[in-house]
Amino acid sequence: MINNLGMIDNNLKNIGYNTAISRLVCMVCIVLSVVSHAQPIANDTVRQLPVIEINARKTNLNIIGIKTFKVDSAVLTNYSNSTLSDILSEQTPVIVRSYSKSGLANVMIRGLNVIHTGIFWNGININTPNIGMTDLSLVASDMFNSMEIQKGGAAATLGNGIIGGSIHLNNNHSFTVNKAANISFNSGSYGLFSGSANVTASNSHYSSITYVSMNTANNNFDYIDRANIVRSIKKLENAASKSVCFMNETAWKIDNKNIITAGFWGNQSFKYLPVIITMANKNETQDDKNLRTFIKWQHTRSRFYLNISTALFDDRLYYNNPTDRIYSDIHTISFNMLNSNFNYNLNKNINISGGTNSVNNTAYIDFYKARQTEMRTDCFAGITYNNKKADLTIALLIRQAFIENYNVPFTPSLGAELKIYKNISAKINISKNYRVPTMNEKFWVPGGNKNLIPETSFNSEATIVYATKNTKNLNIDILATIYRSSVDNWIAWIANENSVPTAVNYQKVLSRGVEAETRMNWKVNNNYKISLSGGYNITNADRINNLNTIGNKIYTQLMYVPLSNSFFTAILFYKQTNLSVNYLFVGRRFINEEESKYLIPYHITNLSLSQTFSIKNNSFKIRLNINNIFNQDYYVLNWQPMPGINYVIALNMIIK
Amino acid sequence: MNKTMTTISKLLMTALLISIIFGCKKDVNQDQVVDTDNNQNNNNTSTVPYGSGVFISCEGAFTGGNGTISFFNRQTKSVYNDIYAKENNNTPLGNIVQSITVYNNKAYIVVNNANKVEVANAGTMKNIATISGFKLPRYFVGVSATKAYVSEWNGDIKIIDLATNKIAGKIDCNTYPDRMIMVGTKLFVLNSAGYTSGIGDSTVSVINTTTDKIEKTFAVGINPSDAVIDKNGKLWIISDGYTDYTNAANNIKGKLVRINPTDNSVEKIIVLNDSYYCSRLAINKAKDKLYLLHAGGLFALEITSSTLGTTAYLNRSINSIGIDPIDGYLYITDKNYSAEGTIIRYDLTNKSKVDSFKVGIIPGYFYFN
Repeated sequence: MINNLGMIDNNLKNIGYNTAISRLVCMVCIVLSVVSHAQPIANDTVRQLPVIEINARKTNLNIIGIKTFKVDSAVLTNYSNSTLSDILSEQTPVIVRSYSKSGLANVMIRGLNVIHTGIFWNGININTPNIGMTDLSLVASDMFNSMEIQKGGAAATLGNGIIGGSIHLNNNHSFTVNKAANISFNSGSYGLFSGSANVTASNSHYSSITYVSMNTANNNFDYIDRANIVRSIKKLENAASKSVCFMNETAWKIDNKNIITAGFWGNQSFKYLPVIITMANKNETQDDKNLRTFIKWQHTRSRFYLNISTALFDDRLYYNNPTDRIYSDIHTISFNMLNSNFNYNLNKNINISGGTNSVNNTAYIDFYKARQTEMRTDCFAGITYNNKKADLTIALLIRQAFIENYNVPFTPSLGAELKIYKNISAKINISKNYRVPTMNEKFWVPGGNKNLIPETSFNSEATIVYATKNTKNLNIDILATIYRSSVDNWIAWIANENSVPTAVNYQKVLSRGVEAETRMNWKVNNNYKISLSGGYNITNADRINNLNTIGNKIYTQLMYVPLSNSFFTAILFYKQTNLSVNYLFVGRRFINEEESKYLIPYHITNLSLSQTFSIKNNSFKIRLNINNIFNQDYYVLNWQPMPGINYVIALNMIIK
Repeated sequence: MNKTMTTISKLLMTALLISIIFGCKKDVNQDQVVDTDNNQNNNNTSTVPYGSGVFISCEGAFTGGNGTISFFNRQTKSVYNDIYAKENNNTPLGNIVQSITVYNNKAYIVVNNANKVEVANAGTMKNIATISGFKLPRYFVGVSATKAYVSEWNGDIKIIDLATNKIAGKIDCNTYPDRMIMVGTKLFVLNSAGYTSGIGDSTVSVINTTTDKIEKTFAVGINPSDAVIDKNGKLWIISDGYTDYTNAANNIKGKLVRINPTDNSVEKIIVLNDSYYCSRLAINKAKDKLYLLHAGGLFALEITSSTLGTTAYLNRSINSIGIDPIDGYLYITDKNYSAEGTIIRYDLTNKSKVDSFKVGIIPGYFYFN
């Protein structure tokens, strides 16, 4: 049943229920004060919060020959106060590897490692340098008005580690007179309560987007205890979580040529870590503090564009295992000293681009035994040929990274996009990509290995796109892709001759697959609109050989990579009523190298129903989400139960 | 406002209806994990006698929950993997299956990170009881018809009442009590490195099994990790030493010491070639030759020797060892931590490989029954 505030149990109290309520009250006060403070900026012609154009076909990512797409804004609005892992797992054709409901969540794309997926904020990779990943369960889904996903190797464009793909989180600023606040409260099963406020204020020179949120949940859902001979239903223990988040991005349009944007994103999260059901509860906890800030200057002329930014990311994680008396303080600082890129149109057909990226990483981690630093510098350049008459674009990009003590391979990428026939076009890309070892892989004691060489990959892909053009009421996109990614010197932790798990260049992996995706928006009449999106992937990610099988090709599927997966979402808009059905299928996943054991496939269906009421210039929306309506029992990871049918009721207020 | 309330009511009614229609009860008997190997063997599960042979505990990956028990039949050379789950409704043993000991025809399976000992019929592997209440249990030693000890990494030896299969008491030891060995009525407990990568302990606690009291604690090498008894009734204990993973110059070498169990005195100390993590010690069928798994490989040493050479008996990657007291074969396990482990058997009389077979993930402990 729907839990409300009064049903939050003692477990939540332990993590500061009273504090959470006081923070919420404070937060609402802050939001209201910000709104009132923002009054002078706006004039009478205020308008609603800027929303993303539905089915925006062109993404900001201009990577020729690579498949990119935006998450639909209508989908984003159904995920207020969720996490990025929720929206990615249910609404996009990527695989989210999540440890239970609130645990560590990462994205796997095209059968490759989670470490091969980059997470970018305003164009800067926020993966922490120690593990090369970002925990998506710590990122709120509604703090960005633009979410784009790129699949395939793009290290030449995006830098280190982008072998599988990347997720891009942005807030687009519009320099129009505008003032609005979107306040939302959610309450749901398992003690979920959350609130957030997104306040925008802008005029012709300034644009400010501020986001605050708090979230508490017990996550104490029922599961089947399969670790005992007598099966029984139990409640998940030690799974409560709470988090608070603040973000502000302010852009100053100095003139028509220059924009300066500064951003700050602070996140604090505390969560208990549930163990897998075959393990005794260890009362583990994790306390995360993430502070991220950037400033960038964009200079635009008729034929020239320049973007220069600098960023500082401070990530801290305290791990506490009182049962085994293991404590860990993990602190990393990434200073993106200089990110720069430019574009220059030589003539109407040829564009040249280039840039640099310099990052200094510092880690204070108990297990490193000493402070460790690393410096990474990249230079890249490209040339693009664009013939609008022939609908042909060809781009060549090269990148060279310079990292002390590492010979990072020269990384080229060649892509082309061309119209084949009327509404049908093709994308082709071949690229070399790389991933240098993370700081853990280099410095962890014991087992870190400074003699590792970077992983390298050859990626190729081809996509056929059918897209309707210039139709007022019906837009259909259909995409079919084949790809091949061959990753060599894949790094893994393997026991050395002294039985110590050690990072080594362990294996070669070949991932091949087929992807089919479709998106459709159909405006039936003035009252009805239908939005459909779906995708189906077949992934064959084989380990070809490893240090234990030298000379023998083994061809077995990587663990936890589903042989097939799909998603489908249908949204029906009727006046101010919105009904959404989402279906997710994840196929068989092997859990050992021999392919003799596997997790059974699962099918999840989610339902969302919302009604909007307009009162004067303001609007109120009540939304009900019923997740996993068939109460499917499933594992994402072995022995990690996931919640059955559960509910979220949300109230959104858009105040102008 | 009425319209708003009506809409809210409709939403809630819809939710309730959908819950009733679709919110079906979970099937507790449905398995999430399918083991195609076990499915193939399911037809003859009730006919497999497990009792006489070699039990192998396979730890499983640290957070994988895939620890298992394998069984090797010496006569038929048949291997049966994951036998506990197979005989017990596909129930996993959990993380980490540390050891298996057969005592009074019952198998006591110690599951380290699940804080439990599963008791099963050694012939059928059918579960009899679960002993819970431990904190990182490691090994089991039977003392009498009604009493046993289980070592724990939280510093205790737990006393088990075998009649009720419950914890009946505890004995405080040093830091990380690990392997244990009985000599007469004395129990020698090796206080080990535990899960530290530094210096855990360097001592051995001697417990009087009649009184359940520690009668002496004495030092051996740093991080003692395994022990055997030779043909003369002497106790041999191997220790890891200390490894400084940032500077090998700070390493402290492991030791092999011979103890007179009568008076607990140290009679001989052999300094090993370097330090190592998780050393192992086995003795041949005649109990006059030691086999040490330590830095540099597997070494053989006569019990009369006073020094260890630098030439390994087997120079290959080995995770654990055991010697079958029935046929004298040496069992070694490989070090693949993510795939099925391989057991290789050697005939020690001519150092020839007898055969090999696959078992579960990270085979770590043998019980020769």
